[in-house]
Amino acid sequence: MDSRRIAYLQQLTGLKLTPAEARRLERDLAQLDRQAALLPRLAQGHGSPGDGTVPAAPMPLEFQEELVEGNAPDLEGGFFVVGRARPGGSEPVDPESGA
Amino acid sequence: MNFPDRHTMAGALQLMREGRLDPAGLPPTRPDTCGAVIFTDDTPGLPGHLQHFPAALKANIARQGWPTTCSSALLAGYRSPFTASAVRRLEAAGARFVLSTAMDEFGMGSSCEYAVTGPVANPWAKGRTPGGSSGGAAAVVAGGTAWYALGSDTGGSVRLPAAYCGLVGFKPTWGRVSRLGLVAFASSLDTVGVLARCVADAALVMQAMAGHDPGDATSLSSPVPSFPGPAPVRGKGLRVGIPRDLLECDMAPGVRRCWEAARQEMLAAGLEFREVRWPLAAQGVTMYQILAAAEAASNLARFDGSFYGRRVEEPVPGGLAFQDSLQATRTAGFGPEVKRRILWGAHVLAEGYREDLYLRARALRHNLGRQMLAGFEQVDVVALPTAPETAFPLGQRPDDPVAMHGSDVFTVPASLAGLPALSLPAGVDEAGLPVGLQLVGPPLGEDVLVRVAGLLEARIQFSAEQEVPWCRP
Repeated sequence: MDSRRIAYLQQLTGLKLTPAEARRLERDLAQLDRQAALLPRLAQGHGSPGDGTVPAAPMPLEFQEELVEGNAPDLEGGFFVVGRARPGGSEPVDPESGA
Repeated sequence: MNFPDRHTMAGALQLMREGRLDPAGLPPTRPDTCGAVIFTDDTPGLPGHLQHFPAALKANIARQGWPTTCSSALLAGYRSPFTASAVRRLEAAGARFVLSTAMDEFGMGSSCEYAVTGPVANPWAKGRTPGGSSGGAAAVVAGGTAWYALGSDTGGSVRLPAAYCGLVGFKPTWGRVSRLGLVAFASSLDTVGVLARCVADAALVMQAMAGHDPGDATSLSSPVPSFPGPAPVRGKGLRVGIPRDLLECDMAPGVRRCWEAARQEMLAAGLEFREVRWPLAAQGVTMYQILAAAEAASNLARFDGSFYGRRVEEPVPGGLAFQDSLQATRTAGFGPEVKRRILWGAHVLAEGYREDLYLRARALRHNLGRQMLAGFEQVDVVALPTAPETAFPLGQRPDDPVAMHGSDVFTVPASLAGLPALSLPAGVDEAGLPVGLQLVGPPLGEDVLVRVAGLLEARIQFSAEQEVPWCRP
């Protein structure tokens, strides 16, 4: 992390930091990067269900069918599990009625 | 729990139905002594079963004509032109909202020290935090200034203050309660929740505000079942999951003691324990930090001085260019924690970092959700402490974001998976501070949560004799 990157982030977000705040941000981001480095790595291919690895490529259809996006638009960064999808489809299923 | 009936809404309503209590005989509300109230409104409400119980809103939930400031200098003076759907539903049931309460700015914090109006104190111990970010809402309910309050829970912001203030905090399934009128922090995590004195009160409020809202495309259309009333339910046949992976995290001795005692009560009540494996849950805080910051950076981009709140326009020759005005407005308007999270969000989304931070956290969240759902094939609810410690002293952590986020280790997994969760008091630690027990339910399992929580509440010794603030003479 260098001062040019901190300056770039300020420009990107429309925020201006004091030199002390910028130094602190540099430390915080380095800490965040260190924490993130401890997260499981991306698996090659699709990974294995439940083993903590994560799919690097889009999930195969059979996994997608276990997940439903609710009736929500596909929020960037979010997913929501509410029940099972209809086989082969992406329409939400009411988990209580199964309809 | 063991409170005098007239001190809870469910108890008082029962007494009124039986003709044994006149509304005039309800305990009066008490003045705020914690610095939690930022706006009051005594306008009478509509008739309905909630009409006799003054209630509070967190300052990020809109009510027409009220300041919706999110405790931010940037929104000073901003008044909402409309009322949040959750509030409208409750008002149709007679709810009378009379207070707006302070919060960590834009919901970012776990101690209610990041409010532009100053820190909020905990009614149990004034030198300590009420938790955050719905700390003001928790303080007014725990202090007897309101009977219940609406808060928002993104990573634990209802459950953590509930635990620190000896309250019930109820976070619904994501989408169960409309978010229309809730100022967005991290849209895929945000929920409107309830802070109340007991499980039955929380269920009463949740029942009235849950359900589909055509005004919120993300609200769920599934019907809302009737939540169980205050009558005790049987524990036999109910299965409780114990997430061993999370319980290996550090927790204070007083929290561990209360957790063990709660486990014994669950056993004595006939509940059956099963171990569930959520190995990714212990890393939920890191995922949350990355994903919530990314969404916050996007959501808070709208606060540029051109539409909401204040605008800084320094007198310079020729006036400020838009970019300069934007920078001056955002720099002066946002507090340090909000700036930090926006900058984190820009960092994790930026070219060269996005794949290793944001996309990895998003994929891990996906897997965590699947691990958690798999657990619910074996159990009805999962139980764990709400927080690894009790309320910490004000001023101890505002400059230590890592320690601050550590308070959320037990609450963020349910948020990341969009699952309902409820915190209820499980006793007090050696300093007499409340400890919270958290129950996490399957998707749309609010009714199961209420059943199990009601059962445990009836058994756990947490009573007026322990000098609960709103019951003090």
